[in-house]
Amino acid sequence: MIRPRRRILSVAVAPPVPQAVAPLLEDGDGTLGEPVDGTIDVHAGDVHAGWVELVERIRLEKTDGMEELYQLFSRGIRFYLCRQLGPQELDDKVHDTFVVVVQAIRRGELREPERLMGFVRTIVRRQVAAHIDRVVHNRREQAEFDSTVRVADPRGNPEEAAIFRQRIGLIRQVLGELSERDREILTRFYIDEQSQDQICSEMGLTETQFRLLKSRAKARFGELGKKKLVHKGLPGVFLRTSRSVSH
Amino acid sequence: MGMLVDLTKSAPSHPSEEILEEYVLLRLPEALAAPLEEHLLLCHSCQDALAETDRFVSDLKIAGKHPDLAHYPAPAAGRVRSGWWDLLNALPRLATRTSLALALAIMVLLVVRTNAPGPLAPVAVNLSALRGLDPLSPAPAGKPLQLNIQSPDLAPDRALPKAYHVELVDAAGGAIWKGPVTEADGKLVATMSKSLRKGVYWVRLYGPDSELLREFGLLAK
Repeated sequence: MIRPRRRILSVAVAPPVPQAVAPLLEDGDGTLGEPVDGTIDVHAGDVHAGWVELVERIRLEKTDGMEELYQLFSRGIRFYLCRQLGPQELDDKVHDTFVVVVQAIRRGELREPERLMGFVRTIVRRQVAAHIDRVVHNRREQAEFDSTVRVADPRGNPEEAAIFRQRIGLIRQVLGELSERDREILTRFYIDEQSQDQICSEMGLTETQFRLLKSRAKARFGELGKKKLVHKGLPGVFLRTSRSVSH
Repeated sequence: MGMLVDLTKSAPSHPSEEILEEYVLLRLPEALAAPLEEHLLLCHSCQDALAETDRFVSDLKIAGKHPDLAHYPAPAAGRVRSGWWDLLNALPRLATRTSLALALAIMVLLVVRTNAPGPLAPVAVNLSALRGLDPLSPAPAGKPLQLNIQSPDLAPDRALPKAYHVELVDAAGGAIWKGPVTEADGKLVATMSKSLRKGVYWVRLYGPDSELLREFGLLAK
């Protein structure tokens, strides 16, 4: 069973708060943070009013409202759709999603305008589910007509395949040059998908040690990779392996 | 009429690196995934950060598991071999080494003989709905498989253990196998006793009332 529809209805909580006034901090446990002092700041009302006003303009079919909506969400919708469905016909999918959002707002289906972000997310997720459903049904119908249906080779053309193999080979080389402990941390966490608890238990680490070691292992992986990239000129994965938390 | 306030600043705080990694590894609880996805709709810098995390994790996984790349030295195997070699080198004399090697060979033979008639253990295959560089999950042909279904939207429902079931079809859409989905360690799992021939397959996950929820690609080789 798919939960998004139920979940979206259940997260209608306080309106989003401007970050500049009441910054939400990253907690030590890696969860999303809470406002510093637990209070709702005075500008929350402005943001609330901003969403309400935007939704109202869209409802009244004002062009600038739709433009603003597109400016705000088009990149995020494109990013989500591309991540879930791939780059094929992406412009059409973004456009279709935008049209569905606007039409739904005009029909009055968004009852809490301050929840516009959650509303857009719900529609994007439904679009993804609908697309997958369409692909499955098309494949079924196609199979009935053509028993020799061909499946695209996922490896791409020979040039792409060669670049891919070169990049993966480089990553394996770098992994091989890391210290045993660094390699074990990265392999266990990212490749074998072991949980932090399991890794800590089996390697005899505390939670803090694990985080520190993982962070250092990623940094070393990045450094080694960059050195090799200088020689081989490959794009990629090593250029940013440890994310700063400054933004 | 323009914006009264900068609505792009209204999303909750930027997620930590750990949160993004958990999201990419499909392990982020729904209660955290929802606000994160809403944040991602508006925040360009976090979209970039997530894309990079995606690529890092995806490349590492492919590098670690891709069967086509077996000619590259596997880090885990290399480490184990080095450990045994170091141990052997530490032994003082050739006779001792030979005796140890013989004893090991006998032990291996005994283990192989004892286990030979038993059924093959299923090989775990992780199926993800994420479209990445490799949309078809690799799986060994000729072996029973344990299909681990990864999707942040789907949660095991302990009250309804038979709520989900899977159907495996070949590239032409012909049904190959159907079976129930069980819950193990918070994940959805389907175990196939049937082995597959080489080729492309599709795993379809159905919910209650036979509603099609997901489809995953599988490449047996």
